Order: sequence, then structure tokens, then C-alpha cells
Amino acid sequence: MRKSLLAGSAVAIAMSLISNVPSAQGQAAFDRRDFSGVWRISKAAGPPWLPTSNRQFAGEMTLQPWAQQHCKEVGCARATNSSGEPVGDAYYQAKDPVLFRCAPYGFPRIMLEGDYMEIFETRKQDRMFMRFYRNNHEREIWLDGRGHPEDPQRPWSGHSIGRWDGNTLVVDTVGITGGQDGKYKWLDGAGFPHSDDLHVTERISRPDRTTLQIDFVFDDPRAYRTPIRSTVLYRLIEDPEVLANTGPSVEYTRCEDRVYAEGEGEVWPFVGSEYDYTPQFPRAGTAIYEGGE
Amino acid sequence: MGKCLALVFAMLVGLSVGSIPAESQRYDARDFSGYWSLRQAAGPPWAPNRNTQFTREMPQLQPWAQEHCKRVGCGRGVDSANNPFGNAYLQGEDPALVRCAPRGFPRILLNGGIMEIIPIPKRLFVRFYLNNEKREIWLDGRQHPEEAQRPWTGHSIGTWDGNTLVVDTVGLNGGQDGQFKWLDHAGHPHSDDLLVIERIQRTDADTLDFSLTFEDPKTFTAPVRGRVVYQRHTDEAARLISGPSVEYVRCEDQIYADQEADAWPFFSGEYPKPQFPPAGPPQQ
Repeated sequence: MRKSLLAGSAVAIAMSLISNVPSAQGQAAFDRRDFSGVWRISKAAGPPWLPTSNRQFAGEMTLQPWAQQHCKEVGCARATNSSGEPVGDAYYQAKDPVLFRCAPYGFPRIMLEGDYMEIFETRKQDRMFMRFYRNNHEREIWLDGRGHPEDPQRPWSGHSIGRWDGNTLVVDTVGITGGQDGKYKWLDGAGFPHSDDLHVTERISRPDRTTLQIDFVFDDPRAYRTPIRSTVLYRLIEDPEVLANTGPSVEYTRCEDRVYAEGEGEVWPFVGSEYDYTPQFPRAGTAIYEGGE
Repeated sequence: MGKCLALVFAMLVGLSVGSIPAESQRYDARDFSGYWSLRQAAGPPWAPNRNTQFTREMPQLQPWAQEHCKRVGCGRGVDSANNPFGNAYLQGEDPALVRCAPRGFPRILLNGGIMEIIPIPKRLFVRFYLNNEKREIWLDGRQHPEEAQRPWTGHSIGTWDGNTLVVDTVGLNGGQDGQFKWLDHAGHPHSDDLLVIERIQRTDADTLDFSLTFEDPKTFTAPVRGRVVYQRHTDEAARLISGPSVEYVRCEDQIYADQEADAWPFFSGEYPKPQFPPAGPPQQ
């Protein structure tokens, strides 16, 4: 009796330690440490009252003065504030460097706007790659125990190192120096800036077979008085039609219209004076970014 | 005595087993993974900058392609008589330079910088330093789709023939007959019908040999056969400076530009003057 109890306990303990999880609902077993597959954002990242709330990571941002100034200029955030009043729309105010300078999205913005994201590891499991449909952007996460180099030379994506904490991959990213305080690169799609000192920590887990969860912490005291926390959920894409036509294996050529352009006005609206998008919203005045909402 | 002999014999066997060949001489001929850089020049021997094309000879071109080559000045540097002739790069016609267009496949094989090959599920994933360009070769037995949706790098499928990987690539329709994309550095065009067949072999531990056949009857009067040879790249320090893990942002000067002339020299008219007169076809 004691022996079988012990044996049973041993088996139970062993089962809880292995990463394979037979689901209670009878779904196929899956490996919690296997993030491979194609994923797409499922849960809105921004405040619930924003119409297009996948544009930013968090609702509460406590900006330093220069960052507030930046946000007044570009019109951070989109559409309306919590009172339903229109606030600045950075996209329509012709300030988005991705749109008007053909700049890369970079990290972490690509995590919100990359569309389909494919994750795979090298066979030796010393690196994990994330490939995105948008701009064919990719980032690599080193899993071989290395530290950050002196000069990572990855100004748009940063240098990422990861280590396992149980079934959670903890990723540390530094070296994101391409943006020059928001002039050429944004933290997110809403226009919020970041400094060269931005330090991003991600805790990546797979709570069930079709869900990937990333808990972000953005630590940038030069730009934000307190760290920004955000949880983003992605769902697994399995439809072969979708994978064939829109995944990262489909080629996306950044700023393709410029490649094929004949006339100057098509190529570089930024510097021509003929750019005439009419913003749908007035420039931001009291905006959510002043920490009040 | 018997025991002594046995001991000596064992020692001899041990010694012979112990003299294992250097690690680099042992390799899996079907394992292409790792870092590689271009070793062997592909172009004609008399061209000063010999990595401009895949073939030693100039391809035989259909009439429209000859016209294209007259215009852009196909070839680089000098002809076989050592006379300067067309330098497409310096004549401001290179779409990769003046339109910020991707180089695409197969051109990226000529000057992509350090190339990294990574086996991933169902595929070989190939990354290049230059422009962070990449391609993938499907190894799971699939066929080409109706519409490849990969105008610059094409859709590639590979099958093993012994230890040779035979890769078939179609769908290269981003170039519009040489206007936005070239087959090589020298300026040769290709049509949307281009079919590229590569036979890739790891002929020794440090060598990756690509035999290429370019079939494009709309452009070439006969299939064009070329070759590039890659050397295994072992310099970790160099990879930190110029490997594919270093971020290369295509046309970065355009991103940071404040003035139109910096952003788009193509239209500003200030593009550097060519060093050579426009080319006729080479005098061979």
C-alpha cells in the first residue's frame, strides 16, 4: 500500500514536472515550451475605450516632460479619450516615421503591428526567431546563455537574450538606439516615444495550445517616470489557406510604392509640399498621456 | 607473450583510432547549416570586379534584353580587350541603389555578404547580411503554388539527389523585365518566366558549391549556366561586425534624411557622374 502510494506520488510529481500537458478538455497534448507556429494578436493591448486598441501597449503612461512635448507634436494615441472626445491622431498628422520615412517598425512596435508572426527555433535550440509578415521583419532571441555585447548593432530591434524560468521564457532586450527619442522610431503605433535606454523584459508563455501570452515591462526612466506593463495575447493560426496567403512566407516589400514610383510626388510625399491628408481629428490638447486617465 | 602482443596490438589500435582527422574534415554532406561567404569569383576573368555575374561568358541575349543592356551598360569595368565599357552601377541605373529596391534572388548570392543557412521545420532558412535579405527553401515535398507571392526572391522547393540539393525557383516577377530588378550585378535583365535551378553540394567541410542554371527563353537565347562557390566562415569577430545578426537597414540614409536631395538622389539629379561611357555589347 505504501509502496504504491509512493509510486503514485512519484508518478504524479514527474507528470507535473514535464512540460507536456494533456488538456482537461481532451484537446491534443502540447509542449508548453514549444512556441513554434504562426500567431496573431488576439487581445487588444491598449485601453478598452480606444477604437483601435491594438495601437499601444498600455493605457497608463507617465511621460517625462520632453516625451509629453513629443506627444503634443505628433498627437499620441488615437481617436478619442475616455470622455469620447477626439484626441490627436498621429497617423493622420503625417508624423509616423514608418509611413513617411519608410522606417522599420522595429521592436517592440512590431509586436503590435507585425500582423502574422512565425516563431521557430534552430535545431540546436540556441536561438529563437520571430518572423513577421509586415516588412518581413524578424528578430532573434539568443538562448545559448550569452550576455549582451558592448555594441549590439541592432538599433531597430535591439539585442535579445532569453532564459527559461520553468515554462516561461524570460527575454531581455537592450540596444534599441535607432529612434533618436521618437523622431524615427516609436514605442508603439500610437506615437509614444522611447529613449536609447529602453530596456524591455518579456515573459513569454503558452497557457493553452492556441494561446501565446507575453507580459511586457518597458523600463525607460528617461522617457517614462514609471515602468510600463502590458499583457498581449496571441492566438495560433492553423488555417492552411491563411498560412499560404498571408503568413511571413509571403514576401512583403517595404515601401514598395517607392520602388516602383515614377514621379517624385509618389516617392517622397514627406518632403514635397503637396502632402495633403486632412486629419480627421484636431491636434491633441489635453490628452490621455498626461497621466490622468 | 600473448598478453604482451595483445597489449601492443591494443595500443596500436588505440593510437590509430586516436589520430582522428581534424574536426573540420568530418562533416555531414547534407548539413548546409552555418555561416558562409563568397569565395570564388563568378564573372569573366578579365573583369576587374569579378563578382558581378554568375557566368564567365556574357549571356546571349534576346533583342529586347540587348537593348536593355545597351541602355544600362551591362558588365563592369573593362572588356576582354581591356577597354572600358559600360558600368551599370556608376551610370545610375542600378534599381537596388537608386530605387532602394531589394536585390532579390538570385542576385543576392553574388554580394549578400555573410550568408547564414539555418535548418528550420520543413525548410532551409537562408539569411544574408546585405539588406537583411532572406530566402527559404521548402524541403517538405510541396509543389509551387499557383501564385507564389514572392516577387523578389521567388518560391523555392528542394529535393535531395544523393548529397546534392536540387532547388527549383519560380515566381520571380518583381522586376518587370529588368526595370526594377536585375539577374546579377552586371545589369542583365530577366523576365517573369525565369526558372532558376540550383544544384548545391557541400563538397568538403568548408565548401558549398552552387551550380546554377537560368532558364528564361524570353530573355536568353539558351539556358545560362553559372556557378558560385562559398567558403565556410569561421571568424566570430567578423560575424559580430557584418554577419546577418547585425541589423542592416536598407537605404538608411533615406530614413534619416531631412532634405529631398539626401533622400532621393535619383530625382535630384545629383547622382555621381559615370566614369565610363555608355556600353555597347562587349566586343568578344
